[in-house]
Amino acid sequence: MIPDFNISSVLPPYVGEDGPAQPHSASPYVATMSGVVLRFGTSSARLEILLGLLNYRKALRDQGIESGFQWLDGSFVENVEETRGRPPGDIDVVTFFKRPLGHIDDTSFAEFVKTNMNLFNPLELKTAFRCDAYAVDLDTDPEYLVGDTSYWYGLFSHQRDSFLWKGMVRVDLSSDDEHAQELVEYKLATEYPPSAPCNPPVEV
Amino acid sequence: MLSKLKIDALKADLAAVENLLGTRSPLRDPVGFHQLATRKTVIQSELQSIESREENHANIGVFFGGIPVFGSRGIRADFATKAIDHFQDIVAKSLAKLELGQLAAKGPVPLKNNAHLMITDVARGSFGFILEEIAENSEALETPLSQVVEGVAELIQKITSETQSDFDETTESLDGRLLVSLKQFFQLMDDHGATLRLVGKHRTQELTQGLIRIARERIDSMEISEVIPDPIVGELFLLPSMRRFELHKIPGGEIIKGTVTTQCLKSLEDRSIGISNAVVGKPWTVQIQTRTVKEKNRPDRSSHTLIALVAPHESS
Repeated sequence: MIPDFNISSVLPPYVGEDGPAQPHSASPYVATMSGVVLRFGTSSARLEILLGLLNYRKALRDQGIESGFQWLDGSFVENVEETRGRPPGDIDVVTFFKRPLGHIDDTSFAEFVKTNMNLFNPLELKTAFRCDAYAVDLDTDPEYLVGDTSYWYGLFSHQRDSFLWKGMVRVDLSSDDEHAQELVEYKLATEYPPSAPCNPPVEV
Repeated sequence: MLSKLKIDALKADLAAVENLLGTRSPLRDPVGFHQLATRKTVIQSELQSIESREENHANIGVFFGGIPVFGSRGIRADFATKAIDHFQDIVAKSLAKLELGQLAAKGPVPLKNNAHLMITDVARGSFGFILEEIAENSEALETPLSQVVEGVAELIQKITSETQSDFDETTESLDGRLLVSLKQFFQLMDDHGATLRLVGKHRTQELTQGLIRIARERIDSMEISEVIPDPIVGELFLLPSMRRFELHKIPGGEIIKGTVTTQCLKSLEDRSIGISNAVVGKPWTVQIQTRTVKEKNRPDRSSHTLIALVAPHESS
């Protein structure tokens, strides 16, 4: 379950009197995609970003990247509408993935990456899916994996400028994406139809 | 948030990424290598953007550590409020001095409303406050308050410097009222066993308890007296751009040198007196303020400020 924002308008690093010793009350908070939609899909701007995330996840699955999980972070999982007076412009994502079947060995995998570089180019992913997205190969050398995980965890668990300790969300790559997609489309059609007054300007 | 803090964070991020990149190759880790290479480019681009941005309004990070601070969780409220209040007071008096050249010995500090800094954020690690000037629009030139805040940071650095000559430089710019505010600030810091880190636009200063103690002792033992004797007569020479003067007393020829106040120079403009024609080398009756700095175990030091040109002196 994803907790409410704390007084600093971010996800808390942990919740409850039990503190971080209880795995379910500490960041990263495990959620389904529909849970993410219900928790963070609170404006048309945010719902558009969630559509982008769902499409990104589909693009990964279409190429056989189905096993693993994602950390979701950045201004999307903060109450930036309150702190900055505008909705988020994108969502920060790190995808920890298992290599697709048939491309497990290093040579084959290197070829796979070359052929599907569009899925691993953060600049292209931001344009195509509104995801500031990076990826970590779970089948790489363990030392590389530890280094990458430490780096991304350090970056995602603190605000850069204020050093504020904050939480993030984790979603498995195989989640209820279809249901989440329906939810997003439903909310966009009913709560934020095209004829409705404009939402606040989106971060450029 | 302060550009300096953002830049520091980005540089640390860049160092971490370069470190990770250095351990791998496209062959051994195709995804990791490519991702980190792209991340490096993104960080470098962001760094370039921030470093090239002109920040013309005042901002400074004031971080406290030591006894009043409890890790990153909190800071004693009674200490923090007083420390920030004293800092703001130093800034206000420094701004008044910059704009008007001279503070009266007593009375309200002029232009105090122009010196207000806002606490716009807090930063953890030690416990810090980000103080900023709230500008309606982005400024094309550096604001006076921005100059003053940078000047106060430099002043504090020199007062706490282990090099005596750095400290001696500061006494030139102090007056009695600013000295009182500095005494209050360093007394509070020292009494509470606090440390201080100032993060300005271009520099960071770390002040240990030891350095704060040095500053307090220096300032506590300092007295500044400012006396305006009767007007005197002499041949006057001015360097308006440097705000300096030299007076050769009549009679006697004793030479008095020092600085000129902004109001004095302005009064020349107001009176439409050409400085080169009517003043240079001509006898004038002038009013000079003599400032004497007394410190323990050191000889007294005097400096002079030309505060008014009373009238041209007609020689008999």
